[in-house]
Amino acid sequence: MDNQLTGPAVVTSSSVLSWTDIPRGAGTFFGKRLLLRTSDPALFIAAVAALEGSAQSICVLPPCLADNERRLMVGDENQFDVVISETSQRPAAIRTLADLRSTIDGYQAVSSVSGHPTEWTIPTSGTTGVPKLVDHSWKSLTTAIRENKRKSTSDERWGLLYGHSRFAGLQVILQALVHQKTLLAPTAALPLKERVAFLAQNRCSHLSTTPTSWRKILMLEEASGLQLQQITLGGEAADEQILNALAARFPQARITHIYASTEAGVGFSTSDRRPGFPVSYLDRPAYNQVQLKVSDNRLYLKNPDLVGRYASGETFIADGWIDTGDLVDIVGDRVIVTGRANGLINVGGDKVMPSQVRDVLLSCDPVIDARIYAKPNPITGNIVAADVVVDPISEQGQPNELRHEILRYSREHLASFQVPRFMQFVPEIAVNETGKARI
Amino acid sequence: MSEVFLRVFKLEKPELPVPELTADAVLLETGMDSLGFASLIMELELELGFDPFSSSAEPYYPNTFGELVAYYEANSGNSG
Repeated sequence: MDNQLTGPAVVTSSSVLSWTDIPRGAGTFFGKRLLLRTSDPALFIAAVAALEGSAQSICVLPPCLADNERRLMVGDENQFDVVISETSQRPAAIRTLADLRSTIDGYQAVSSVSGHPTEWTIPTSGTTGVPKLVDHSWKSLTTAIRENKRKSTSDERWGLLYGHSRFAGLQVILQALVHQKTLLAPTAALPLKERVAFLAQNRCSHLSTTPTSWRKILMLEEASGLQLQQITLGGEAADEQILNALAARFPQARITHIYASTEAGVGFSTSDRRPGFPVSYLDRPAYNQVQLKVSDNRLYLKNPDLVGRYASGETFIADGWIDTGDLVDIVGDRVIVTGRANGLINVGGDKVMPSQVRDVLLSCDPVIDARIYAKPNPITGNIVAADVVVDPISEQGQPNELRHEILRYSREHLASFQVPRFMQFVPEIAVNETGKARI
Repeated sequence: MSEVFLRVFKLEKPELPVPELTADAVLLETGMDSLGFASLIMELELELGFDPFSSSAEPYYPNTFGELVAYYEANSGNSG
């Protein structure tokens, strides 16, 4: 271990871990297949460090899945050699950091002699249904981390606001572990206000989250305690307003916008404080060895490190290229992401399938037709909007009351981010509408 | 403004107690989340006919209810 390391390895809301608490590549897990699902960030991070380069495979699951969802995703947990989870029914499960330590105790680190690279599976966000599991390798998980050649300062403290089991959260964790920087991981269930206060108190210098979360952070008084050197935005397109607002509030910080998804890994990043990315990225590998191309206004990406497969066996790479499903426009010298080809609406990082919203509206009595689309919004990037045709008889009542009635019904049948926040009554839905998102 | 805020609040957060909207009430402490604010801005646009957040070139993120009201008042002359 590096003797110059002075700060702690991990600070959570309830614990502080030193670098000696973070065992690397523990030999006890050599060749084992592991399931990792825990809501404790300290256990998760220590497990990641202990397993990588040692375990044969690590399957990461979100901590708060229902039993039936978990069965749909991984089948019987008994197929795994080891389960790391505080809620596992298995007698030999690793439930706490103390369990992990006592399991590892006495074994040598094998990371340097491991002949077989660890296989990872990472869950998608699953906001349109049960999450899918995507196959990854150490190489595909660290595309952006190896590329990180900037001069690092000794006192970097990385804040974790993403869920630790999500691709974006794992990126923050791996950045900190690989570069041996302190990771600040407040309890995910706490309100954002308290998590930001925790990050400010612990002198967070590097912080990564979605544009929607950044807008919320800017509305918090606690944000005035943040002294950031690095601001990273991801998960949805960053508009000019949020980039300008962050630049004004944190004039010392470098501001980076990362294009990434669980399937495509990290595609590229920009730090020029402008929306979209330079057209010049299309002519040469933009980021590490990642190539980009635009065809029929769709963005495609090629990264030789990617496995390009779901754990189910379904592949999503054709001739080396991944269809990102993002629609783009070339405006001057920039490529701007305008929406999703399949019409998915990105509401603050959560994806909404318009057909699902439409089906719910159509099942509400007064509604006879509906069109669902994205409407830009200064807080969440987009919100779900609906043009609704109602039964002429119901329309004779108070339009506002009818609107609220339909919204109340939507709330009962949809997740909050899926509920239309803008609704207008129209006489009919044009027949030539393709159902594509209007953005 | 208070009326629209409370109407949206009751719709968005029916399970929470209705907050007292003094000028220095901190917006994110009222219990409203970012979707709630997205909704509020949309309702205010329907009610007032403009959305200062989208029409203004200068980004602004109000902290208190008083700041939100002042922001709408300051920008009310800018558009229809």
